[in-house]
Amino acid sequence: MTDTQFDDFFNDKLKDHQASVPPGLWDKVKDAQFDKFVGDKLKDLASPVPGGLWDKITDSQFDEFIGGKLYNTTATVPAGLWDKVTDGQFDRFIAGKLYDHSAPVPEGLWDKVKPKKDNERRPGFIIFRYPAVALLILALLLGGSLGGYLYLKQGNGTENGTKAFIVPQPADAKGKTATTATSSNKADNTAAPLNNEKNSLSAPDHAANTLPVAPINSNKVTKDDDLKTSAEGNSLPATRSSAASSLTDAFVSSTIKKTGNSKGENAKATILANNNHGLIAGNPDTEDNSFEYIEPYLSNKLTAVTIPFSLERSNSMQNLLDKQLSTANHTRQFRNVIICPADNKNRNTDWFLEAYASPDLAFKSVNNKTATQQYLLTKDSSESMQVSYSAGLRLVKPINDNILFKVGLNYSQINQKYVYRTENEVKTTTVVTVRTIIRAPGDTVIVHDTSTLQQIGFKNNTVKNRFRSFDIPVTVGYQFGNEDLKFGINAGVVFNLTSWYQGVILDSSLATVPLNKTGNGVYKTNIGLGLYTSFSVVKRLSDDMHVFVEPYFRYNLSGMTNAQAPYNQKFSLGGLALGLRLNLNRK
Amino acid sequence: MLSSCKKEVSENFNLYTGNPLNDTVWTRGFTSAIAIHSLFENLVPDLIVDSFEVSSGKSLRFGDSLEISFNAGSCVGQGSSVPQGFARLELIPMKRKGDFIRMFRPTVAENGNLLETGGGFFIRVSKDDKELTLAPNATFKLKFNDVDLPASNMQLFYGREGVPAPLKGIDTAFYWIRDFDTTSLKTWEKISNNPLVPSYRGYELNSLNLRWVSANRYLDSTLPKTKVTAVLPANFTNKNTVVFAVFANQKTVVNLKGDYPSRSFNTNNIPLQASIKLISLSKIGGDFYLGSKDISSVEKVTSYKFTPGKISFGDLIRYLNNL
Repeated sequence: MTDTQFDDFFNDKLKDHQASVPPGLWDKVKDAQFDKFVGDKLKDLASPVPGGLWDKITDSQFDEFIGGKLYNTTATVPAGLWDKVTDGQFDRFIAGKLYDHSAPVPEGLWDKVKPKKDNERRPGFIIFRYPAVALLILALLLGGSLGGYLYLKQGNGTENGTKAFIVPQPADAKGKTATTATSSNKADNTAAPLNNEKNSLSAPDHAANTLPVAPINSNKVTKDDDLKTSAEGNSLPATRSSAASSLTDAFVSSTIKKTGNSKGENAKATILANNNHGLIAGNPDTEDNSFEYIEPYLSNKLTAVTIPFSLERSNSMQNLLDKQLSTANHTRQFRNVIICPADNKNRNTDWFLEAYASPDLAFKSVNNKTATQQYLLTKDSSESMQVSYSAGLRLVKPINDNILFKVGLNYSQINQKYVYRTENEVKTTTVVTVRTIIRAPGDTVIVHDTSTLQQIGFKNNTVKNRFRSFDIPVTVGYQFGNEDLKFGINAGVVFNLTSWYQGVILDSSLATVPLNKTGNGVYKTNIGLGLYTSFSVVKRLSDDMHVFVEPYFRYNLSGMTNAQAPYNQKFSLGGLALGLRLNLNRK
Repeated sequence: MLSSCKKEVSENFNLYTGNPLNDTVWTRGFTSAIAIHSLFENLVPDLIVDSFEVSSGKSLRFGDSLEISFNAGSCVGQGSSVPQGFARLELIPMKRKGDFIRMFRPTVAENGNLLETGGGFFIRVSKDDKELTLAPNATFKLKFNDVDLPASNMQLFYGREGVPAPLKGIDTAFYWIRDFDTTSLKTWEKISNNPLVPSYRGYELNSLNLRWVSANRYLDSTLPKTKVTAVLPANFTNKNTVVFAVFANQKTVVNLKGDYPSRSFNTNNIPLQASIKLISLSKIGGDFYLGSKDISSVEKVTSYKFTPGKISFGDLIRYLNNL
């Protein structure tokens, strides 16, 4: 007779049958007489493990049973156990459990992590250009793994080397159930050994199943029941004498059950879905006293299971079995675990204002047009560039964490020393002379004379030529680094608004003549376009303020002299901008 | 600081080394190397040149104001031989005070005595570029007019030059020495009744010497004399400047010598209460400077200060000619 023949024979015949408990039996049980009777008699007893029992243990029935039994039980930790945990045995155990484990990513998750439009905007160079994305992907992988682990730990006690595939099943004719197809390891051995009179699930609940329901719930017994079962020779795992290991297994196990598939057979097993309240048997709202409400013993809703005391419990169990783990629920649980990073690159609302000043060095280039060689030599010997300066304000709009758009107003003044010599300059100095005049022997007087002294010579005249301009720099920059220190490269164009000059210039007769602001016939009032490039280092001073240093170079595309000038002259400018960056719109 | 920031031009003045204007150093000795000599090379009046037959002699007339007569054989050359042929006669008349200044022949006699002059001449006779002299006891007759009324007691004076006489520039050793014949010079006049024709009055003398001849007399002032000192700015030193005291109402020109210790120019023997004008002539580099100081009455003051100014050469000549 197979294991199911007896069940098939009785089928539902005993479903409504009630048998009276012998008087005093429950009292004895409650009074622990039975426990006392058994005492240590079975301590050293070795008995063969019934066939299929280990499979059930493997299927975590035993874990769940023990988990339920040991709920609210405290036990001293054996000496050295924490050391083992510290030594990573536990970690290795968990790691071994999750080795090769994979969890499906909920639909749409990747889209949230990496929006499509983002891909379209920045193809390629993901890791280099968007290290945050790389970090995000890595975080998602780790988070997904962790989430999957937590999820499975919460919802399923998968064994090492097994895979659970949760597949919603259509309801059967009785409107029940949802079963999950799982691979089963020795499924034919799962039911019978643990099915006693009190904890066996009713067959009708699983009539549609070819295999007897692996009545996980049937393994759920109260503490007393557990002991009774063991006493009745149900082969409670004597080898699992360690409560701690059982507790560990209970933690790992979940209410979602499966069957193994060690033989490669496909089998069905019911799945108990976890409810959201830690209820595993019965519904407290229905005031059905036959249901036992067990509070979750962990805040993460891991539940302990128990063995129903009546056949009605099988209905509740079936209700639990009917529960499906929806994809939405699955996704929701993932979201509890995975913290999706904000897509800051597309939502940077910052505005910065930069104020800066810069000492500059100007580089002059002169191309001859119609000037004589002597003119150019004289000009070259007369002019020397001096330290110049620039100052300005810029508005900075970060397109994302790396790309910055800048526009501003820049004032620059190029200083040039012009030295020329003027000859036969007479310098008149007032002097006081003292003379001793002898008018006659013995008549000496001292004469103080205030007069002028003229001296002749040449003058080296030094004039400061100033080339001033207002410009609008428009640049785009890429910056990288951390919050405290960022580096950036910038490039753009500089639009000249106006330019004017002051100083002296050499005329065609090699004489020095003054320039004025209104017009000189030599220099343009607008020098057009320039190219700008810079490298910036930004140091955070506070959340709203940064200091930056930015060496830069500006190359003017066109000359500053007009067509009538005998030469073409242009300046290039290099400088070191020092400034402050103020966040105008930090949130 | 703000004003210094606004300074657009800075000047760095550099003296020309060797430029005379920057030379404010006085010299202890009036050497021929000093710059003032060149001034008088410029101021020397033009020569009046003529010629005559030395062996036959000749009276040369230059209008009504000047007549010079050489007797036959009065001029001799080296070895007292009378050259044959024509000799070259060169004349420089000094009729005004400015002429004496231009020739740097102050009217000062030996020992610094001041003279009043009626006029003087530089007369040179040469043959074949060799200067001739008068034969012993030979004379030449000079008749010249005086721009002023001739004085009655003028005497003949000769110029005593330094040895050797400088070919150019200033002869600081020069002074006038009176002829042994101290009789007063004969005066003459030619009165014109035609208003368009001037009248002439002057002196007539017979000179025993060529070159520097004048009609002078000692200043007859009985007033005490004093020392007049001129103080000029530092640019005007004894190397580039000469100072003269010119009497206002008589032809007396006195040179104020440069005094190194006091860096001033001075002269003695200026009568008190005299009306004089201090005139400084300078040549610094290529520039001429003229300074003047009118002193209506010389007093016993310490010094007179004035500052010369730059003047063109033409204006300087005109100024001197009108003294």
